[in-house]
Amino acid sequence: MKKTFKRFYLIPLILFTGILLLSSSAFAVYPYLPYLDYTANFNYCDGINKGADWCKASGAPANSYPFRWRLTFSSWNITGGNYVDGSQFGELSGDPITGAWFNIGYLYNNDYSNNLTFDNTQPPVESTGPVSFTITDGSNTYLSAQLNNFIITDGSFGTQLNPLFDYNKADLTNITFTPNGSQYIEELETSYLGHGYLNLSMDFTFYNGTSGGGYAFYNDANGSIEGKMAVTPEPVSSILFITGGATLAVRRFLKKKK
Amino acid sequence: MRKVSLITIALIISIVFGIGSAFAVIGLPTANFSGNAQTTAATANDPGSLSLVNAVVSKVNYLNGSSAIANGTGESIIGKTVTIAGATRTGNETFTNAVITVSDGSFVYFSATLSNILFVTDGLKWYLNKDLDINNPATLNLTNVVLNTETAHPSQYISELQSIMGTNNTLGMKMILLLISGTLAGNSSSDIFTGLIDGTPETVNAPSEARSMGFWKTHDAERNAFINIAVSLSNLFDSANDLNFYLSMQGKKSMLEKAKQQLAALMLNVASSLSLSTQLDAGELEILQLINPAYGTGATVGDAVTEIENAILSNTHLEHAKDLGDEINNRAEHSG
Repeated sequence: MKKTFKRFYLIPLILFTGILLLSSSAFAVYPYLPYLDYTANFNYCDGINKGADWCKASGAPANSYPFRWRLTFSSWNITGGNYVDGSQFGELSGDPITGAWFNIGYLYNNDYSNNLTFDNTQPPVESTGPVSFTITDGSNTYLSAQLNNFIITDGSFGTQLNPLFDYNKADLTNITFTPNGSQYIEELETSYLGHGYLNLSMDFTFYNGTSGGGYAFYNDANGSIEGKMAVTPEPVSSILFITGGATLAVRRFLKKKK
Repeated sequence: MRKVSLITIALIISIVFGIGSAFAVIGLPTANFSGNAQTTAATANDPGSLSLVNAVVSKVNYLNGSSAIANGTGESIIGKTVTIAGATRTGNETFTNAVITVSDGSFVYFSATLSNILFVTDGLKWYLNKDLDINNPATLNLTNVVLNTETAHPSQYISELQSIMGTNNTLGMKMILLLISGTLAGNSSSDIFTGLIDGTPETVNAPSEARSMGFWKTHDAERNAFINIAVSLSNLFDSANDLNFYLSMQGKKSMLEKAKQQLAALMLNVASSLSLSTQLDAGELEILQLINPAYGTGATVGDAVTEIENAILSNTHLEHAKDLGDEINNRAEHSG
């Protein structure tokens, strides 16, 4: 009887843990403060339907498609964010980083069978190469890094980059912090050195092109993005903590029953 | 027992991975806002509320696709305060209708009634009206919209909204929150991850009857609205990308490619407005009979689609298949 009960709880527990570990979306962990908020516009050219104005290069020869499979951003604006204590900075109470912008290297669709992963090379070369990433206001560079694993999801919550702040998606590495008077950058550096992961997250709003249901970036598209940069916990430790806690609780319950 | 386990596993998997959504469409012009949101818990004397803190318009996106992140000649709405007033808690994630405004404290650029305040979560962020789609009236949660601009408070964004809305006073608004502290069901403070006031419902009219291949090549909004339905109805195109590839082909083409191009346009017509049960006219029937003489009066668009697909798959009668597609796609012209 005892054995059956143990098996009864152990199998679902193992299954549940397996699902959590395998799934990126089943278990979300809150990123650490401070947060940085930003907006921008995006253009995407898939190189097949070449009708969109933003995909035409002026003066380019016929049948030349320089923007093929390329995702580009413009009109960046860092609108504000929250410091470690939760207090807000932004247009109403400034940090020098407010109004600065991102510079991201060219991002290309990985290939046609995967329209949601972007890297630094134009198809048919498939890679997972990083692109450059800096935060600057034109005269000061606040942060420079490599941006890796630019993997977008397209589903019931919209088209998003790294919606659940996975530590291994849209992650920044080889980071150089240069505060230049920004309290946000100082706090970010401290938080990053303490936890080890810095990630981007973006929400895409499409004005043209298909989005939703996994069809984003199958054709020319443009629109705007809003997003956040934050230090992210490694979820595995949290999962192990919860699983361990649940196991201890069940064992205590079984002991009490005895 | 096995059935119960299977259903449970299927449910878990669908929750874990999410289900593909419809194709959300946003209409220009739009305004983005950023800042913080706060909720308060229900107490014996206070039902609790939702409000915005230090929320301001951070960007406006104009009809022509350009955007502004700073004020200048003709625009003064950037940095103006966005407020939500009167949103009283009715549940853990629900609040009563409220008034949303954009103002500088005295001059109100924008005001509207915000309805259906219900937040849902993906496990991390909280979404208000996540399915916002200008073509879906059920997602347009702003009514009684009042817009104001004047010489001392110029706003291209407001002027464009006024011109495009006409007598319609319905808009949409979407917000995504990331909690900083507390829980949404009680006292909480959140960062506004996404704040979006959408443009006006810009109805994508389904073309009546049939439109030519050229129409579908050049009308992005209409094509994007129906392309996935077209693919689902087709036995030949296996993705939107595939259909787009053949539809947009230019220059010298083989007969097979020409037939596929006309079929792509035909499938878009079927997806949007041309019923498969529509009877072919005399000219169309004549071409269909060249592919398969078994057809007679009463043959339908569905029969034509079947025969064009068969011709393409078997690499026979390609010219007739191309002509039949072309004839049906241009039937509006022929009928005068």
